[in-house]
Amino acid sequence: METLHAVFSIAGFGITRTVIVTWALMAVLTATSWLATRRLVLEPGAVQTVLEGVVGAIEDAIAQFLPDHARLLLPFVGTLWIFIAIANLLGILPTLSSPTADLATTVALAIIVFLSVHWYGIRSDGLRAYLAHYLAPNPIMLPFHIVSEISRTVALAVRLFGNVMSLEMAAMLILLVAGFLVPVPILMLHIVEGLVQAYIFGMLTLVYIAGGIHSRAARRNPEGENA
Amino acid sequence: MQVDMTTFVLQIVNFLVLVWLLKRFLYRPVLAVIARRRAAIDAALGEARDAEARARDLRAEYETKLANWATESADAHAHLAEELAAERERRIAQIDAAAAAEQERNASLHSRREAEMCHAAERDALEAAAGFAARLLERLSGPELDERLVTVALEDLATLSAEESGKLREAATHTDARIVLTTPRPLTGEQRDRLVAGLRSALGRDLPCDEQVQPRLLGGVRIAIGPWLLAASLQDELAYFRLGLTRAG
Repeated sequence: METLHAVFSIAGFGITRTVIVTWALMAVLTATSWLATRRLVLEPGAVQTVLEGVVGAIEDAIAQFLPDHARLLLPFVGTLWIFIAIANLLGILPTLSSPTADLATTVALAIIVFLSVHWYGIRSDGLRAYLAHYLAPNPIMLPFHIVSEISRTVALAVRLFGNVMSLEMAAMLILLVAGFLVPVPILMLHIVEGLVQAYIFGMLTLVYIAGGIHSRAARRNPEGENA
Repeated sequence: MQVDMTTFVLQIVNFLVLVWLLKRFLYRPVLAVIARRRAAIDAALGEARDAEARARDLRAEYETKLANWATESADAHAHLAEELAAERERRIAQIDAAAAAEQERNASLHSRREAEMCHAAERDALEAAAGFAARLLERLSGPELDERLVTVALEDLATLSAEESGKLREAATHTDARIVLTTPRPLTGEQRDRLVAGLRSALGRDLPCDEQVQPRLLGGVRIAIGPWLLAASLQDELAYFRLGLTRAG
């Protein structure tokens, strides 16, 4: 795989293209955010309206599951959505590959989600109450809970990696076989699929965190697990 | 499907750093401006509510003032109506008093005019009566009437009061005192003697006697002694008659 080849090394650690693209993406997002939020006013222009719309939409989506924790979860879940969506779309550009087409990235994101679920759950209910829910409704359910935790984390990583990698590979194969402009419909599908996968990853993260928090809001929306 | 551990660890670090960066440069400023806008909107809504409350208070105050003004206007109207009624009554009373005074004055003037007219009519009637009596006496005058009037003069002379008798005697005491007998026609001897005898009796002495004839006396005799005068002629009686009528009128 191309992503396994290090472009350069730092202190003996090989820096792959995935990391370099990720750094570039981080730099662009940070610079854009800084430039766009330097002079925010009460009567917004077009750029500020788009920014407020994006942030507001993310906060509203979080508030539908966890009304009391929307502000707390906004940076984490919002960054997941923005990073994955843009990272998925980067594969469209020539000579670039999506960081999410690298299993190391999707596994890293899945591990972060796995840890964040426990972090927010313990922070909300306390360690004893949080661990007790693994024994509910019966201690026999503990192995199933553990398997569920592992399988959904693996599913998060593999689903995102598989979709993005397969789309890029399909576009490349069609380009090689059919020639210039033929893979355009596949690229259109790539855009849609990239946004959908980002949405699915973020919503599943939100559902997992809500389940871990065991808050009243999570209990009011048990169907969120099926999203 | 291989996972490069270095990439895996760096991607974890990269994502956490990106979370911090976006929280610092995107979420926090955008949420802050949204919060400021909401605060401004809440402040504007609060001001609008305050303004509405003030407007409601002002409206209530205005309506109260309107009600008070309406009450005061009604009171003032009623007071004005009372004043107008009182003024009308006063002026009607004044007009009635003036009309009554005018009526009384007219009645007084009318009665005075009537009295004057009656007096003028009486005066005319008396003038006519005096003229009629003068013409009648002028036709009845003659020696017989002279004789009768001389007799009346002697009777009056004999029945003088003590005061008149004193005045007669005092007039007769003057050194140049004379008796003047004025008649419309010459006296007869018998008439002269009777008059001289009567005067001597009244005066208690004799005085020289003169005689004068004046036809305008119509009849009778006029006896004058100095300032004392005894009128027993028709002319003097008619003059007394006119004078008495004039004083009576």
